Amino acid sequence: MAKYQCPDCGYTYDEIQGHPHEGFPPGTPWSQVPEDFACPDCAVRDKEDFVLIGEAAAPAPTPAPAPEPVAVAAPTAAPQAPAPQPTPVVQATPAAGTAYRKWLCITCGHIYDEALGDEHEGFPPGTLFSQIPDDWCCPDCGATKEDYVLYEEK
Amino acid sequence: MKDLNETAAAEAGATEAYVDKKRYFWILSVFWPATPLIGLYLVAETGWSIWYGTVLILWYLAVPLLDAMFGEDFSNPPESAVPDLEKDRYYRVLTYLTVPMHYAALVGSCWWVATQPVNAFEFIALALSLGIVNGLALNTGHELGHKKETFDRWMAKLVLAVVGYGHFFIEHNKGHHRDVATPKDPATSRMGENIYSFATREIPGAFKRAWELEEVRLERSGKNVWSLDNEILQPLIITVVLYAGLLAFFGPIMLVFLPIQMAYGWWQLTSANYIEHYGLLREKLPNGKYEHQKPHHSWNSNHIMSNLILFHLQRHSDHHAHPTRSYQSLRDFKDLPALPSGYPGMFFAALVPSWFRSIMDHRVLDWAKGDLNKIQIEPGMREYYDRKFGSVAPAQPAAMPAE
Repeated sequence: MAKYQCPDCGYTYDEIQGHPHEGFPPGTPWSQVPEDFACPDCAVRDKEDFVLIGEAAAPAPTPAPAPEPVAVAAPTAAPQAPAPQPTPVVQATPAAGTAYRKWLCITCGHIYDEALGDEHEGFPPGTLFSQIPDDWCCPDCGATKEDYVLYEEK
Repeated sequence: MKDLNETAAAEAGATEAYVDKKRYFWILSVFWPATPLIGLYLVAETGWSIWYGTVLILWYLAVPLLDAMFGEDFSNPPESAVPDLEKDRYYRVLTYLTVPMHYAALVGSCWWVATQPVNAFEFIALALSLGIVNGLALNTGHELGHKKETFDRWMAKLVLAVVGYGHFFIEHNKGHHRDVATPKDPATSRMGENIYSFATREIPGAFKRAWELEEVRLERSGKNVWSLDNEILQPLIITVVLYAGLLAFFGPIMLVFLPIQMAYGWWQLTSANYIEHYGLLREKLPNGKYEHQKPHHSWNSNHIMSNLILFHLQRHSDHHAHPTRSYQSLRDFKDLPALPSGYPGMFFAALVPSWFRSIMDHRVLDWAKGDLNKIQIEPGMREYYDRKFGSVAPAQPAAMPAE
C-alpha cells in the first residue's frame, strides 16, 4: 500500500484510506484511479504528476547520518551561506545514495538538477540547491526558491 | 526543520518579525457586504434617494479612483512567514464573519423594499446594489470553497446559496482550475469576444461542467446523481428554502426583486471570469495535453484598494498556481500579466466592448510577443486581428493556417 502526493498542494492519496468522497473506497489501488483523475484539492496537477511518497512494505529509510549531500558541498561551502533550506520538503524518505539531487518547481514543473547546474543562470555543474541564493527565482515561471521541492524520479 | 529556522532567524535578526501591514485592513472585506444597508441607513437619515446607489457609486467610481490614487502594492510576505500566516486563525475567521453579512444584506434589503415606499428608480438601484454585493458572496464562497476542511466547504455552500450559485465551487475548483486558459474552459474569455456573448457561453457551460463532474463523482461512489449527496443540490436546496421564505415574509414584490439581484450577482462572476484570463492560451504539447498552467496564464492586479475588498483575488496567478493557499499569503511575482486597474474598474470597462478591447487587446498581443497563434481568438475575429495587428506579428516562416 503506497501513498501518492500532489506536487502542487500536498494532497495525499493513501491507498489504504482511498477517498470515499470521490468514490474510491478504502483499499483502492492507485492503478485503479482513472488516468484523467485531477487532484481533488487543487486540480492543478493530474494523476501522472503525482509523486510516490511512501511504500509501507519496506521500512527502507534507515536515517542516513547527516553527511550525505554535504560530501560534495563541504569543501566548497561558502562561509556565509549556511544552507538555510527553508523549503517545505515533503518527502518522507531521505534520498540517500547519490550526492546530487534534483529539485522541482511546484508551480511550473521546472527541474533544477544539481549535477548539471544551470549555466544560463550562472550555476556551474555541481552547484547544490542550498548554495543558490535565496532570492533566486525559477527561470521559467518566476516562482521563488521556496517553491521548489525535492524531486524523486519514479 | 525547526532548528534550521531558528538558526536562520538568529542570523537574520530583525527580518524574522514579519508584520502584515494589511492585517487589519482585511476587515474591509468583511464590511463590504454591508454597504447596501449603510446606504439604506443614509436614506433613512437624509431622505435623499441618491443613497440607494451607494454601492454602485462606490464600486464603479470610488474604488477605481482610489485604486488610481493609492496605486499598487507589490509587497509579499517572506516565505518563512507563510506557514504562520496560514495557521493564523484570525484570517480565516474574517471569511467566516463575511457569510452572515451577506445574509444580513439580503434580508435587510428585501425587508426595505417590502415595507418602505420606493419608486422604480430606487427599486432598481437597490436591486443592482445588492446584486454587486451578492456577486461578492461568490468571492467569499470562492475563498472558502478552496479550503480543505469540511467546515469551510459548508460555509462556502451557505454563502453561495445567497446568490443561487451553489454549483460554483465544484465548477470552479475541479473544472475551471483544470481547464483554465484552454479552449475547453467556458470560464476563459477569448480575445475579441464581448462580455455579453461570453455570458451566454459561460453561464450554461459552467453549470453543465459542474453537473458532469458531480455525476462522475457520484457514479463512482455508486450513488444516484439525484441524491442529497449531490453537492450541487445541497446549496440549491438552501437557496430554494431561503428565497421561498423571503417570498412568504415579504410578499410578491420578491418575485421581481430577487431575480434582479440574483442575475446581477451572477453578472459579477461573469465579469470576473471575463477579465481574469482574457485571450490567454496554454500551449498544446505534442502529446495532446496542454502545458501546465503557469503564472503568466492569468491577469493580475496589485491595486491595493480593490484587493482589500476582494480578499486578494486579483493576485490571480499565485492563486492559480496554488489554489489552496489562503488570501493573506498570496504573492506577486515579477513580470506578470497586469491589468491597468483593479477588478471594479475593469468590470465597468467590460460593459462597453470596444472600450475594453482598446484597453486589453494590445496587452494580450504584447503578452504573446506579437504572435496571434498563441492567443485564444474569438472565431470570426481572426481576420480582423490579422488586419489590425498583422504588421506587428513576426514573419513566421511556417504558413499561417487560414482560419
